[in-house]
Amino acid sequence: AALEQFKSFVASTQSARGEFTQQLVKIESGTSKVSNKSTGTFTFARPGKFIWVYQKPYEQLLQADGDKLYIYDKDLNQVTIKKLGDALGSSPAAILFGSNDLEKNFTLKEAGTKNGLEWLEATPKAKDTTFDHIGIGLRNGVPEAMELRDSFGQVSLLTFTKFEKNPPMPANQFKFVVPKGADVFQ
Amino acid sequence: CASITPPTGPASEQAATARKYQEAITLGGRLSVQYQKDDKDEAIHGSFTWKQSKDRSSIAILSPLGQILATIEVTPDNATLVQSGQPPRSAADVDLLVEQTLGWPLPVSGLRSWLQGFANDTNNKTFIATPVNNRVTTRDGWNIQYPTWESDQQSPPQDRPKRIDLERQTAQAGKVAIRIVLDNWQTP
Repeated sequence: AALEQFKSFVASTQSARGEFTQQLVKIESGTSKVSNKSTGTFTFARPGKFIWVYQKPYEQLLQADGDKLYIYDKDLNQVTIKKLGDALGSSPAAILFGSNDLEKNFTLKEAGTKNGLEWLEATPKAKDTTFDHIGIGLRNGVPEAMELRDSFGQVSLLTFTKFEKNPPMPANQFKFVVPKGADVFQ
Repeated sequence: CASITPPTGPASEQAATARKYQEAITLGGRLSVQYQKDDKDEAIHGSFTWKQSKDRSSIAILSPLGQILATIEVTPDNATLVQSGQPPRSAADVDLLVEQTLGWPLPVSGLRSWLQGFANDTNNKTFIATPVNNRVTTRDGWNIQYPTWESDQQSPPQDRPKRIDLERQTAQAGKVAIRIVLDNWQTP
């Protein structure tokens, strides 16, 4: 079932890369309205290293090198650098890319099968998070979708494709380089 | 300074006067805010939706992954701010409410016109931003710059602000720097 698939995913996946789509799903008078579609690529390595690149409709990058979180937005022409520590905490990145003692930050529950995926529900133990709950949909031991529900009832749906488990990666894969001309804020 | 009707200027100001301030408009974009909290540097990043009519404004601030961090509703008689997972808070002055709740000032009343490139400068004269004339200091002390522009694809096409930088020294949150990029414009 989902929990078993997720545990085997966490145990067998040291790193991965692939593509993602992200959409906001609003429920308005009963019908779900999809908006703000964005697409991009992701790369991650446990624990706490990831590169989450939005390519469309605009260029934005969230990168963690295990110590710091870098947020770069091309149009804002700005890089913000933060301590990774609490930023990862109970965010979806922690689930897929973080350390593997997930039960520390989340209570996990089976949530049945939906459109061909077995779903796991993760509810953050910390109260001050922006999430009400996070759903992870798995197939053949690999996450293919994530549902992030915030406390306003808005759902952000992520889908993962071209998922490559433990691909070969250069040593400095997660080293952040400040794009030329971007303003940096520590 | 919520409602501003720009004067019709000389022909050389053609682009600016052609661009009218819209009281009712829906905007969306991205923003980053840098400020100080107990003299530690803080920063937030996210996107926002902005819906304004003649006497109302409704704003949502979202995290990069699309979770709503806070909603702000402003009506003629009061303003209400709801932060994720917390009870709503209301006050008469929205700018004060935002600063007390989020810890950094989002000048909501001013942004109603600043987002579109209109402002009242320090001697209360109407300022109309253009790609050439793109800096102003507002009456309440915000230094605003419009570094990048885009065409609005209308006919005839007009320039409108793409990126807006705002900066102000504040007592409570130190030096506050807000950067905004506008991604979509919709007039009713």
